[in-house]
Amino acid sequence: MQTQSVSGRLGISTISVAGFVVLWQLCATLELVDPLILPSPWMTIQSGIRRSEGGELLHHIIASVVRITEGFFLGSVLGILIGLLMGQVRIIGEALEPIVDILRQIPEVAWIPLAILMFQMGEGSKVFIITYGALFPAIICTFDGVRMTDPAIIRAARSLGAGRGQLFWRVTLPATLPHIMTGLWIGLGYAFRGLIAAELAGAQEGIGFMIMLAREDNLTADAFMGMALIGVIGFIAIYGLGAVRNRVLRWHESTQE
Amino acid sequence: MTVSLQVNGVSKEFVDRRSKSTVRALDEINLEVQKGEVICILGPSGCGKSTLLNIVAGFLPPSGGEVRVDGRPVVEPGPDRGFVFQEFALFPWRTVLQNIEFGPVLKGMEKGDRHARARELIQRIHLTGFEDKFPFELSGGMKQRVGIARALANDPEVLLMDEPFGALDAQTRRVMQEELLKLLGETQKTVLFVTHAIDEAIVLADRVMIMTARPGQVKALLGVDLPRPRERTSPEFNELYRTMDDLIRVEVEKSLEVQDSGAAASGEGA
Amino acid sequence: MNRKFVTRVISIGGLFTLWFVVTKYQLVNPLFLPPPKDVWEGAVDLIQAGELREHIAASLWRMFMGFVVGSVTGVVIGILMGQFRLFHAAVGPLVEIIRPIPGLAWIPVALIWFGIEDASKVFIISMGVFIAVVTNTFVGVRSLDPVLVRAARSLGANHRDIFFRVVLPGSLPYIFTGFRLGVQVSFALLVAAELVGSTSGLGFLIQDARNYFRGDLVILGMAVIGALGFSITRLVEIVDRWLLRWQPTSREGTFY
Ligand SMILES: Nc1ncnc2c1ncn2[C@@H]1O[C@H](COP(=O)(O)OP(=O)(O)OP(=O)(O)O)[C@@H](O)[C@H]1O
Ligand SMILES: [Mg+2]
Repeated sequence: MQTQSVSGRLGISTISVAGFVVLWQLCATLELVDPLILPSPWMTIQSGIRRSEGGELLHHIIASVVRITEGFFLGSVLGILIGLLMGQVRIIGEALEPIVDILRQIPEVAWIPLAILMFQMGEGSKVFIITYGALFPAIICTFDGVRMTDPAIIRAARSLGAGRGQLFWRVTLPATLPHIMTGLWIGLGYAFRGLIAAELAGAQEGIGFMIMLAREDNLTADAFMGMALIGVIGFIAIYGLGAVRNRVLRWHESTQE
Repeated sequence: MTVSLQVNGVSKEFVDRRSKSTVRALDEINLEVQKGEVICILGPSGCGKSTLLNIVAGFLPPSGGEVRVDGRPVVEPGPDRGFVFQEFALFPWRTVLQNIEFGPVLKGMEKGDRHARARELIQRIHLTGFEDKFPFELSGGMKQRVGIARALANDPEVLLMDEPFGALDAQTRRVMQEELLKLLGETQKTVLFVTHAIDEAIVLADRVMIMTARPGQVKALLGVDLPRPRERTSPEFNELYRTMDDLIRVEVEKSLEVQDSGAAASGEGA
Repeated sequence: MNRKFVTRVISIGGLFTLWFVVTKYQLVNPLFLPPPKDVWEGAVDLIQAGELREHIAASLWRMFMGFVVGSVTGVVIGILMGQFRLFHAAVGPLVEIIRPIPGLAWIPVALIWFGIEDASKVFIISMGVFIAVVTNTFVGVRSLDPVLVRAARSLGANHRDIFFRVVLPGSLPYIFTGFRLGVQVSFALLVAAELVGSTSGLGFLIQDARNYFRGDLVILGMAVIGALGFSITRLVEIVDRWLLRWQPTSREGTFY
């Protein structure tokens, strides 16, 4: 019974997606909609194939992936370190908290013009934006995590003979890990947003740049293809981080599904 | 017999941050415990039982007096005093085995040795087969067995237990009491055991310390001279139960009055 | 309490002092870090010319329209998906396909479809709000305790009663979480969309200022964006907390 209804619904889902694609294709084939407004799925795929020739597409993909990797890594590591420092050293936490509270209100995309003034159009401005996006969620979640560490656990460790260093490495850090992972999770979304916005606003390569160029040339199919590509890359990144999370937090209830 | 634990005139005052007034939680507590003796502490809620245990553990400094374990004064938490928490306080990222061997790891004990010790304890708490489970995969009773084994893995002089079975259901509680007695019989630990249940105290204790309402003082120290295992239904058991119940009830009523007058006083102040 | 306030003042005051000192001795290129005085004067100019007000109004109007469109469609589709398995099977996968595409990636397409005026921004915002609202509404309807429905039925409720008196209020906390997240997300979307292609709005203001190398106005615009974003999310939070004051605990949302 159960399996039947599940497979039944799966069937409906397949039909729905397939029907959607067919309808979309029909619109274009029957010239119901201007392909400049809505290119057909086939045209979108074709544009991907066309752009792949000569490695152009791959070039843009690599440019974007390198940027997001650099920026996300830099922002996360910096954010975790700052967050840990703020949580461990009370005076640093109290001094930095108001500044963090102010800066986090400004979305990373709003930094784009200033970043371009600072670094011109070069790589620096993109990596800056992505780093900024990943930074604050990492700081805030790490800081919260350190502060929210169960005091009973700390007392338990102390009564078992843990010194200051041992307390940090063996208790505070692992206890904070779930929060850090949350910070990275949110930060990845912001970093991605920063990447696309920075590339749309001004770049010489990258998927965002490719889409923006397509828009100027009214190549809607190319823009669609780029969007799909961004979706796929985002999906892979989220999936990858999820896999890391599930490995690192094997002991956490939330990873048991 | 040797003295294992001395509590000499320990007092504790807390300063309330907001009202800046001081709360006297403990008042001149004196207690001398022999090696291998089990002391259960009974008293109304808020009389300072946890505070006393925390001072012995070294989590809190006393405002006056001192605590000595094996003749050495207590200044900070240390592995000579194992603590068992009501809320278990297991490390959620460590497996059963890793939780138990935490103390030995900190001491830098060889892997083979500490595994052997942890495995032996796991066997004694009947958790063989659960070595590699994480805390969230255990029931409450299992968690507390790990909590006890973790404290014992350090081979402490004194075991401090603050309502260790308070979060467990009645059935599990009974089983845990029996298992604890067996463990203690094998290890000869000195134990301070805080509880709210009079029958638990009578089942476990060599002596029962009854505390007054806040500020906590020693109201009575009663020896339990019943043969083990102790029958809850025996007339002697019930006799003792009634005596203690009468002593405590007076203090509970007093503590309620204190609360009322305290509320009235702060009402006037406002 | 006092201590916290004092450190707050000291640290923010320190930041401003640093700004003064750094710009006074020209330790950083004044192109992108002009002295506070310049920013202040730029602000006064912009306010007196009425320009700042116009940009804020343009951004807020787009935000509002996008929110209305996105939240209404999100709630309707989310509830339908939660209530009817067939509808969920049919529409769910389509939503899942759109979901991983960041709202920003729609900007070029939106510009092609709707041009450079308000409509393209409204589309982008409604897209961001829609995704957040539809997901949370669906989860809200689905995670409603079935015991409540059974209880209502045993008390004599019919289908309509159950929907309006149990399902809807029961999933309201989730719907509001969707609103909150949607607003947070889409404010950044708006700024980006205005940066990339627009002739008004706060995003345009900072991009335009950059073109003229007016670092002072860029910083001013960023400050206004931060303040506005903060006010909007706070407003939504306050409304949300007031409407859902029967809820005992704080709620987490699902996004992505
Ligand atoms: N950190 C603290 N700051 C201020 N007052 C405290 C603090 N800890 C405990 N107290 C006060 O000291 C008194 C004793 O508290 P304690 O926790 O030791 O009681 P208890 O006997 O363990 O109670 P229970 O049976 O409810 O666990 C209480 O009145 C409590 O309010
Ligand atoms: Mg207590």
